[in-house]
Amino acid sequence: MSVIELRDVSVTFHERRQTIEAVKHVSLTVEKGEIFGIVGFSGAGKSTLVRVINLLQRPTSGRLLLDGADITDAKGSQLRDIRKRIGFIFQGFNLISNVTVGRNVQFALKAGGWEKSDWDRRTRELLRLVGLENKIDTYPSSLSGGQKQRVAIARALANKPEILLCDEATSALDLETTEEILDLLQRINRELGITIVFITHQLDVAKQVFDRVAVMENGSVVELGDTFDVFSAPKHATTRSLVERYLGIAVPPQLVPSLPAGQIVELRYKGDAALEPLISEVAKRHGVSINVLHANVSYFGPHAIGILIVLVSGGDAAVNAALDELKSHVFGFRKLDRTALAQIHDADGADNEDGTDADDAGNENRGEKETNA
Amino acid sequence: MNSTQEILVENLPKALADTAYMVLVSTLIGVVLGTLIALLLYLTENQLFRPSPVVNAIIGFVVNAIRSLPFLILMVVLIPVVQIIIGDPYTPTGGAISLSIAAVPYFARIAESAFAEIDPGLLEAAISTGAPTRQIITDAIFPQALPSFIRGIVLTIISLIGYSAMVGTIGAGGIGDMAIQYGYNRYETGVLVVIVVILIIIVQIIQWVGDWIARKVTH
Repeated sequence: MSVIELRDVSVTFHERRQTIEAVKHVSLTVEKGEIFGIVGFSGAGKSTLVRVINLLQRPTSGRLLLDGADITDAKGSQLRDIRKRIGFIFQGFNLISNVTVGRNVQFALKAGGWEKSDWDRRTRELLRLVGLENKIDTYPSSLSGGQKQRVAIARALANKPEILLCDEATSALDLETTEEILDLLQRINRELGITIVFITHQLDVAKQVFDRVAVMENGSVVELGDTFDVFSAPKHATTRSLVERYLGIAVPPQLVPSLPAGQIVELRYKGDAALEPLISEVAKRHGVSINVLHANVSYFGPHAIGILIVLVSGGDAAVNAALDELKSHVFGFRKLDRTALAQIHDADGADNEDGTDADDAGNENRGEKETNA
Repeated sequence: MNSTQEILVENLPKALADTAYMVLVSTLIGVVLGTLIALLLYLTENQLFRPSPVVNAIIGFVVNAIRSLPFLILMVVLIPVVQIIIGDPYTPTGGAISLSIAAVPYFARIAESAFAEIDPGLLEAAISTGAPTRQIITDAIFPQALPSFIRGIVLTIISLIGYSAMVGTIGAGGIGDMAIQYGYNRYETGVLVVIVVILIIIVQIIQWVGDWIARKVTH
């Protein structure tokens, strides 16, 4: 049963006589109990979209349904009651720094109408859940980033929400802390049955925890499906670019001119199947040489995908036959254009501002989670 | 020297008390009403609350209009107004009224900028808990703005001490009145020196205490 449903939602801002369409005709449903992810480069409209779900941002057009009930026009106390059912955590934690950890949590309890006599018990219960019971009287400034996010999670869970929205909730954290927060969120999802909507530009986060994922580009959802399917066989250029940045599977452009003649192809295969024997066999049979330019295996949840970039060179007919045979053995096959490859760097720099961030996230994680094939 | 001492003993306690009365009353009124106006400005300006450009522009205009008059001119303009309210404008209460009218928009702008410094993300988080606006103001915005607020109150008190000397010159009493009457009109340099020293000490103490409290509430 879908707990959140967006029907043809658009959000338009008017700023200095400029009209910005932050979200364009997005329709999607989030199922009860799943971890639903929205990925995309910065400026894609993810943050705006997630703010529509608890009506921090009113949609300009379209409808928002919660458990089947249309809440698009909710106001006043009805709106506040809806928000109590939806927790929200942020990249910047957004704690009230001049009051203690306990008072931060109690802010939500007061909003939720809890009896004052229950505040202390419930606050301790929540802080215990996130492993910070001993910090109840500390001020947020003396906590680490990960601890602050835990407090924010405790606050978001105070009123026993059905849904937890996470806006780049791990993007300000280091690798280890990100893992801890993701573990905690997965535990919350499993044990409390809370549906999670998580937006991020970090593919490492996406592939670890999302059940399903929507890819956003320029205000629209361009691809949506099971996380493994979307990332193992990306159909849209944005998804492909996200995956390539993450896996670092671009051939260095400066290397391209010095490569021997031949066809460069990208092969994708299920990571558990080994490709090396196939490659040497194909090379032998057709009398071509196949050079592996780049190889990578990455795990998406329990599944692995492998990506190889190879250069096939030899006689034209032999190369074509070899390519046909390779094609029949892999599930992703794409011929790469040499001139485009040589320019890939420039094109990447131009198509989005956040390229460096996405690159960094990918680079940091590469050593950790992947093994070179 | 003898006469200087006599003048001081005879007049200084009353002058100090009058100044303290005028400054305290106008600070209190300035902070309370100024905060309310600042809240109105803030809530009508902020997209997350009740954006209302018209209300915001009207209040902003009134605040700016009063702020644009130098206090010396505002004070003169207000003499007939004060006369209508309490009869005799040349009393400490008359001075306190003029000072209050100057203090309200002054503190309103200070409080508004203290509110504006608050991270919008914090407001989003507060709103997302389902809290009503009243709770967001009392439990999130105020604690977060408190250090800037306290520094603003100190600034206001010190400005009002300065302004209170001006209302003194037109006969509302207080330490400024005394400085003009004896120090200026009667060439009692000794009185003037004592008053200057007292003012410096008072302002230093207020600043020091204010900074100390502001540090205490910053975490």
